[in-house]
Amino acid sequence: MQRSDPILGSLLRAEVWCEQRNRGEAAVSAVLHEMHRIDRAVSPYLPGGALGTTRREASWRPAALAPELTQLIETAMQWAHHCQTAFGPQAADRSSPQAGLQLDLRARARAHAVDRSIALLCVRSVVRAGVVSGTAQSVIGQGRENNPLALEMPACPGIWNWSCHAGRW
Amino acid sequence: MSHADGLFSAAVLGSSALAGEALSRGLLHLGVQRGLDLLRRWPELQALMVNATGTVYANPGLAFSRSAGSRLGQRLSANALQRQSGKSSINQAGTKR
Repeated sequence: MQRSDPILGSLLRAEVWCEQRNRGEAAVSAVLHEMHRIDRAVSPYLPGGALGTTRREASWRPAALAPELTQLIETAMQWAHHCQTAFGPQAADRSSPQAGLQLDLRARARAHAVDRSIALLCVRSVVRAGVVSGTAQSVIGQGRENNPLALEMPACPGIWNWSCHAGRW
Repeated sequence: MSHADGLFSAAVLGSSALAGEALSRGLLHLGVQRGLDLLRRWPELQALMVNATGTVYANPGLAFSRSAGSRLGQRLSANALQRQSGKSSINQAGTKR
């Protein structure tokens, strides 16, 4: 089963291999449902979205962020600190030593959505699947012989998860 | 878009897409040596960086065959630059092989 959908400013593709068609379709639908939920939460443009609402209201009164969004922003800021890069357009001050690169939340959200999707598939005992959103990709399954990457991931056997920027694999 | 040290591709493998997405983008910003230094903090993460000549850099955690790395580097270079690729090599922890 394979489905694609424009989500989070990119094209999401979810593929699941199941012997039972209904089970596979349900798993793919669950992935898309989760992706759309995260899209609504982090998009500043969608009406009613958590981030959009916060951006509108936070200029004149305190606004509460949902725990998931708070965690996502904190994680993005931690990685920006580690990589000495800027977080968000509001931090893109050219005089700042951290102005080398702008990190947008939706890129982090796409990767977060991939993580969430894989977790959902694992709960459903899916053993062969792939989820791609933007540059974040995750695969559940067994490696094939003559795989040019020949990767070994002892920390998470059976799951490969990678992100690639500015290149083509 | 130009990146540090002429890198045109960075890939990070790990148990979290979020960490991989953020770090792969960061590696392009930091360049090879600073990127490899940063990667030492997370030995469970595995990374590849490829520069414009097709040279592949990888941290020690990546189980990666040299011949496969050479082929991959050449293919990436050819794909991205659409011109003749240079000699490729696997680079572990910044030591050119």
